[in-house]
Amino acid sequence: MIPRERVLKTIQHQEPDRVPLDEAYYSFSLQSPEGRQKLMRTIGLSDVDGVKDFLGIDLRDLFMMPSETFMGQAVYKEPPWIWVHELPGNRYRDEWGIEYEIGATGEYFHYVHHPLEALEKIDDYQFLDLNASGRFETAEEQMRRWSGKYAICGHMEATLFEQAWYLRGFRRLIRDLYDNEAFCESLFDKLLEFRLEQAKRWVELGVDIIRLGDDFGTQTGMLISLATWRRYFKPRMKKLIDAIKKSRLYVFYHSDGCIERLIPELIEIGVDILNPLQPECNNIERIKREFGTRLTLHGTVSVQRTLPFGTIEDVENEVRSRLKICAPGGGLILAPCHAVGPDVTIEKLITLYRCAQNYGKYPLRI
Amino acid sequence: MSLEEISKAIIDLRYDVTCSLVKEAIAQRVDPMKILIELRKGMEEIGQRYETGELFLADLIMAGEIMKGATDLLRPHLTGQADIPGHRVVLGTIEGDLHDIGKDIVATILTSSGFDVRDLGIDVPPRRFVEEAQKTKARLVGISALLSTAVPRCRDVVTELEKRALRKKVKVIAGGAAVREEHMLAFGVDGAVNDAIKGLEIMKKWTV
Repeated sequence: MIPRERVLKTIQHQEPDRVPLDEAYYSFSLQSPEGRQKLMRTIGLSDVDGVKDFLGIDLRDLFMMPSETFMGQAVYKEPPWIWVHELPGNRYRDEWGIEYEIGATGEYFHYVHHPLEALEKIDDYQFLDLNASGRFETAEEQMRRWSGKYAICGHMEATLFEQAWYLRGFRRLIRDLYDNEAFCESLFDKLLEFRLEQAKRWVELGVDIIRLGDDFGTQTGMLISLATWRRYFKPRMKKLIDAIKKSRLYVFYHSDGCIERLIPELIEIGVDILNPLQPECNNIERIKREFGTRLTLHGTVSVQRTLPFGTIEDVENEVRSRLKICAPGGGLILAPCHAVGPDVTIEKLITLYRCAQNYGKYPLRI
Repeated sequence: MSLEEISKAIIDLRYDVTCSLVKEAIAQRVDPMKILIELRKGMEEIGQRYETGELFLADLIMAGEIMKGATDLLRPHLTGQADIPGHRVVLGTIEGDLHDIGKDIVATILTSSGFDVRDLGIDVPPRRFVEEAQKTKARLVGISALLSTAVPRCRDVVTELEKRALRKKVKVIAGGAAVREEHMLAFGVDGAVNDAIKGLEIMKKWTV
C-alpha cells in the first residue's frame, strides 16, 4: 500500500496495511543539524527523504516560504527553524517583523520583539503579501516530487491565536482578551482573512490535508476558558474549516497540552485529525473510546517522559500499548508528540519507528 | 471607597479599575501596606479559584499583570517602610531554556503570598542562582525548566551550592512541565513539581 493510501484510509476509519506514521513536529523531528547527520550515519542514508522512508513516515509537509525579496538576505536558522535576517547581538528577524534571540546553549530561542506590541490600530501593520514572488515555488516543486505517493499537508499552524501573540506579544494579547476586545476582533479577523487566502493556495496546489493549530492547552487544563475560545476562535475556525471542506480536504488540528474539553467542539466544527495528544496531559484511552470513530488521533508518544527519560524497552512498551488501544478500526497516525530534543538518543527514535512498523501491521496481533 | 473594592477589582480581573482604585487610595493617604495586603487578598482568591478549576491560566496571567501594574503604582510609597514581609526566593529559568510563562506565574503567586522574589529571568547559568542566593542571603531557590533537556541542569545548581558550602542552608525546588517527583533524587533537589500552586504550598511549608 502506498503511504498516501495508508493515511487516507486511516482517516476514513478503516484499517490500512499498517498504522501510518508521521514525524514529530515537521522539521523538528529530525533534531538539530548534528542530530540529523547522526541519524543519517546510523541508518546509512544521505538524504532526509530517504531517512523518512526508512522510518516509515507516510506524510509530507509543505510550507509557505518568505518572499523572494526577503530571501535575498535571509539565512535558515535552527532554532527558530525558519528563514530570518540576522541582526546584531544574536538576534534574528522573520518576514513578519518578529524578532528572536537564541539561548546560551543554542538549542532554543525566545521572542524579543513583536511588531504589533505598540500599535493601536491593526491597519497600521502590513500583512504578508501572499502573491509575492517565491512564496509557493518550493511547495510546487515538492508537490511534483511527492504527489500521489505521500499524504501531503499544507501547513497553516499557529493559525489565529498563536500568530496573533507572535505579532502582539503573549502577555499583551492576553491582556487584550480582557480589556481591548475591539483590537482582538480586528486582529483575528485580519488573520482569518489571511488564512482563508492561504488555504486557497494549498487547495490549488492539491494537498490532501491542511494543518491548522493553536496551542490552547497547558499541562493540566485549558489556557483560556471555553467561553473565551467560543467567543473569539470557534466561529472563525469554523469559517476557515468550512472553506477548506468545500474542496473535500481533511483538516488536521494541533494543540499542545490538555485539550480534552475542546475535543467535542473541534469535531463539531469539522476537525478530522487531532495532534499531538500528549499522554501526560490527556487520557488517550478515553479519547479513543469516546471520539475514536469521528476523530483520527495523531502523535500520542510521550516526549516529556518516555523518549527523553525512558529506556529502549519503555519506548517499545509505549508504542505497543498505544497501538493496542488506538489502532483498532483505523484512526491513528502514530508520531512523537512534539519536537524530539537532543536528549533523545537516535536508538530510541529508531526503536519507536521500527516497533511501530513491526507491531502496527493490520490485522493487529498485539 | 472601601479597601475591599481593590481586592474585588483584581478578582474581577479589571486592570484599569484596580489601578484607579489604588491611585485613589494612595491619594487618600491610605497606608500603602494596607493597600498591598488587599491586593494580595485578591490574588490569593484568584489562586484558589485557579486551583479549583474555576479560573484558567490566562486569568492567572491577567491577574499577574494587574498585580504588577498596581504594585508599580504602590512601590514609591512603600519606600522607607519596613521590608515587605516574607521570605526571599531566587527564581529563574535554567540555562538552555527560555520559557518564562510558568516562571512568571510562580513569581506572581509567590510575591502575592508575601515572598520576596529575586527573578533572574530566563537562560540563567546555574552559578548565577547561587551567587544571587549568597548575595541576598536567600534560603530558597526556585528553578524553572520546561524542556526535558534543561531539567538535568538543576543538578548543577545543587553542585554549585555544595561547592560554596551553602547546600544545607538553601532549599531548592525545580518546577516545569517535564519535572517529575523522581527528579528530587536524580538531581538532588528538595522539591520537584509541575504545578505552581503545589510549588507555593511546598515553599510555604519550608518557611514555617
